[in-house]
Amino acid sequence: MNLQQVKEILNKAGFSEESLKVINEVLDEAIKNGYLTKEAKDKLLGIIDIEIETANLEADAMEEVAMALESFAGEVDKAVDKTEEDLKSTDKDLLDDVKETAGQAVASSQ
Amino acid sequence: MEVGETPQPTILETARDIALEKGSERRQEAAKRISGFFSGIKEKITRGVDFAWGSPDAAAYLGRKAAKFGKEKATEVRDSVVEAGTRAWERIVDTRDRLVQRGRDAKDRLVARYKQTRDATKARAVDLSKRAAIWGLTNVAEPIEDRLQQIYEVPANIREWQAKREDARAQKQETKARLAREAGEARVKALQEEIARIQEATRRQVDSLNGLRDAALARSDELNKKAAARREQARNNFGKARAAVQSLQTR
Repeated sequence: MNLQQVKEILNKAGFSEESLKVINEVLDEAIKNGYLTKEAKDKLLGIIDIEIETANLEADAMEEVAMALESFAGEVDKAVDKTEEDLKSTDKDLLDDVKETAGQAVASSQ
Repeated sequence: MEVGETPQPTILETARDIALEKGSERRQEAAKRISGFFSGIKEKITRGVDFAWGSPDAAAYLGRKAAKFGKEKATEVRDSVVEAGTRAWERIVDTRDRLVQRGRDAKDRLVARYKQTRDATKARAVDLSKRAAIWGLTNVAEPIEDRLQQIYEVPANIREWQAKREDARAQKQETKARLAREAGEARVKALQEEIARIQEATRRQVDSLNGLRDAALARSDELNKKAAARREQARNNFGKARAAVQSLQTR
């Protein structure tokens, strides 16, 4: 793969504007000279690594926020479930109370 | 993927969509059950009062023998039923208040986690920015912050959800005192009205919280998809670019 072909691949990769500017400066210099120095190659690899880290950092942040939202949804679920449990228990206790009242009334009237 | 090709959902995405749909169905069923408990509570009061006045149907409902009481005894039984109903009403008010409080706590925790994530990401971006300077990059942290700006926005309905802050205890005491001032059938009617009122307030809160839950999960799903796409870009495009540079000979 020659320098021009590599330049085309790098320009299609979706790097940030600033990274691409520096990448193109390095590659244009190399194309003009007809070779790439070790320092220039390290710089290109360094910039690409920064881009990879940036993408992973952004993905991590999105996943963290997604987890926070899932956790919120779970807490809301629990709150509604607890409400349901409380109402069920209130309904049951009321039935017991009313039954007891009725039972006592019948017993005392006999 | 070719331009214009429709992206196919992954197995994980499909599983998430199914879970979202099922979760939403479960919540709708829970809302129906809650409504059922309220109907049951109101019915028990009605049946208890009817029993006091000698209704055989009410006696059958309560699993008791039907009895014809004198007016004084019937009034005493009815009042006992109303007292039990009032205690149930108080518990429902407390239940609704706890629901609202749990919703508030969940929202506060969510906002705190957003801030925590934002601060941690900012620190990582600053560190990355320092390392990027070695390669002549001077503007790394700010674009990250700009791109992530939108993900740190709490979904609108969660942000705007403001459960009415009221002096719940004072309001409960006031209603309780008002119920106590009523007597006889007027008190039965007032109690049923209060239960209907707290039922409506609870239903609104449950519906509202379920809406927040659905919005949170939809947003979470969207963010997970975006994160996967960003990782894919790093792995494929940037990885391919790195391999291409790596293959170059140097002098």
